[in-house]
Amino acid sequence: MSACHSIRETVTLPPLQERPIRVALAGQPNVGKSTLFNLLTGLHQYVGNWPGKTVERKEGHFTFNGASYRLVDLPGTYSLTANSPEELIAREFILRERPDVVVAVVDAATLERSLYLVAELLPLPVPVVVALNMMDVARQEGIQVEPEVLQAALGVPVVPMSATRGAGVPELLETVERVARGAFPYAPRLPQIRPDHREVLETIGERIAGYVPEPYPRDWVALKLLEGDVEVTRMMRAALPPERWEEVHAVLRAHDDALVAVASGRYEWIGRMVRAAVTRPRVGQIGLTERLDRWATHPVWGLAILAGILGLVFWLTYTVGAPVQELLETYMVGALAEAVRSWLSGAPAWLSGFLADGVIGGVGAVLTFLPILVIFFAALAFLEDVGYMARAAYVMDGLMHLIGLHGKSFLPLFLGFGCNVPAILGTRVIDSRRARLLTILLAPLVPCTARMAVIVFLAPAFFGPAAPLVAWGLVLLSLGVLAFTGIMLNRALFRDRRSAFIMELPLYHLPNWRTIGLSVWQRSLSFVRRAGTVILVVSVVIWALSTLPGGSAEESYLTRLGEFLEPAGRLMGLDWRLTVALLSSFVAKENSIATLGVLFRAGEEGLADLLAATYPPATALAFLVVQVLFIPCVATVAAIRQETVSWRWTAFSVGLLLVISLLAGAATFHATSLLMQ
Amino acid sequence: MLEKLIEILRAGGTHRVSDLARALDTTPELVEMMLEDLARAGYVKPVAACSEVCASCSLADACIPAQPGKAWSLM
Repeated sequence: MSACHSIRETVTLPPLQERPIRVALAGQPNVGKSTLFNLLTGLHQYVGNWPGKTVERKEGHFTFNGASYRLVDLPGTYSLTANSPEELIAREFILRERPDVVVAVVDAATLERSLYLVAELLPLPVPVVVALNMMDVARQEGIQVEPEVLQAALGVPVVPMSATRGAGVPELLETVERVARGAFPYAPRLPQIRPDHREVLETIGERIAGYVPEPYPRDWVALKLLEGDVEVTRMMRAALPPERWEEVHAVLRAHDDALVAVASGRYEWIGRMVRAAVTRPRVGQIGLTERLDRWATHPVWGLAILAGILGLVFWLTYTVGAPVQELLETYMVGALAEAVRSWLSGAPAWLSGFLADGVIGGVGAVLTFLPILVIFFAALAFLEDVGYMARAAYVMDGLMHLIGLHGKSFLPLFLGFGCNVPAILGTRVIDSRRARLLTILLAPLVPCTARMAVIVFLAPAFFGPAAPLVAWGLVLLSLGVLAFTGIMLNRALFRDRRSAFIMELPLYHLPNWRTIGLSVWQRSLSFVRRAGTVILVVSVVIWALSTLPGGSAEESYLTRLGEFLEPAGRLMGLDWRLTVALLSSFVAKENSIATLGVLFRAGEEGLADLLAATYPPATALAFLVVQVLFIPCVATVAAIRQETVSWRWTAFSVGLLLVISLLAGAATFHATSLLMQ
Repeated sequence: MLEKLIEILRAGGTHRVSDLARALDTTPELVEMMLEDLARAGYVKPVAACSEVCASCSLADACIPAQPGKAWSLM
């Protein structure tokens, strides 16, 4: 034990009457240990380092009721394993220096966490007094802790106190003195190892008897060996004769699950103590969260609520955002394009066309729906901040299991709502190769913000007041297709393997407007940056292709390409302009709008009005359906290639989505046309 | 108690900490501690935080869902 030897060898002390009472303060960080130390020692304290360590050592002295005390503040620790230098220092000090009393400072408001350390302190050969601190905080939170009951359950003195107010401190010191002088019947109830491991513990104890170095208690060393404690194992390996070590080691190897048995005993013990002494509130915030979650995380109602909330978000987005978008389109983009045209009336026609149709028509059209996006981002940030998004994740994960998907697939797919690229990269959390592949193949079917932006813009253009319903339906459609494709691919690729997933759902709370504002700002900024880079370049390229070689759109390269592709588009009722818009979305989804803006020369007239006047509802709906299910953008395809490390699977993914989107588009067009007749 | 938790997790499925606490007749705080312990012992592992996965992504700023609470999965 490297740390222990460097601290100090055990010393024989004079009787208690002739020296100060030596007290060690133990406890996890932030339980008020330092407050108590400062309160007791005042100016009589010395700060240094533990020998050979960079961990701070605080020591001090004081007198109370005529008795003098020496107080050592042990480093804050959650347990006494050999996980950290702090834990080693704390346990070595207690074992080697043998203070007269260890005061375990525990937080009454989070008793479970504090009691783990107590469970480890009690088997040590030094009496423990529990200082039940932060009683005031616990009371404020409605948690009732009964010190007398806890004392009876633990078998050691428990003193309620509040160090910040100085309450309970005299009582604590009186108890410490009584325990130090042996005037308190000290009979701790120790945590017990699981019954099936008791015999093993005894065997190890017998094998090491007579070889355990001073001052370590044999039973404690046997327990630590079973736990696999690195430092104790090293010490006993050196202390035991080789053949005896082999015997002990063989027993330990045969019980490598003993760590769970030992820890389980401690948790059972903590559970008993808490059940006996703590009463928690069933009302207030926790009660509200539980009541809301009964609905929000219900397998059926939870999904219905999620669908409802999504619908509400779309409704809000359109109701508030659409009029602003129209104003911007008319008075900003339209007016700007008009101004550029009249300003450049003397300049070559290509220049005014380039600026008015290429740049303003493309990028301008995309930028006008920034207000809609801001509202959409704000609604999502709000749901995230109040704690609802975690519930959405939870109910969706339940659904994943219903359709036979891997539980871990949910998180990456959830990321896909933001952008498919992190969704694909996020599949790294999945260990199974097949499950990971399946998730990568499904991720592009999650409607990302860019795709949502296109829907958010085009749905009102085509469908007016019915837009929220259409957008909501499109999202449900893509999730439905995702589920169906998942079931199909799962049968072919991936046999269901049991996997568990545990989520900690935060309490619902009031929104923090600053966090929401910041989130909306960052997302909007990122969107504007894309409009200024990728979308600008594509708009200009589309404009050039739609103008060259002769300057007329009818004879341009883009028209020729569109006409070449038109037979495929016609299956879904799409003309060459919609087909080209769809193709350009491969670079970035928002390009669909920019491309339509350029192709319709939507500078002065609103693109929305032009589109509504040009396309019948069947074509419009088919286009939107293809748009949400179409092959993902080039960045996502690159991510798929990077993560699958296979061109074959990348091609399969693109092919799969192409087939799905074209089939869905054709089915939508023909079904809607039939219905409209 | 720890064994029962491992048993529940091995049976698969998605669990909330509060549901696990109810099943084990204990508090969510204790379940969290046990999960941390099981993570140290290598039985479960914390799911990578969004920030780790997104570190190399240029679109990270625009990414909608942040880490939806703390999550663990069975090894």
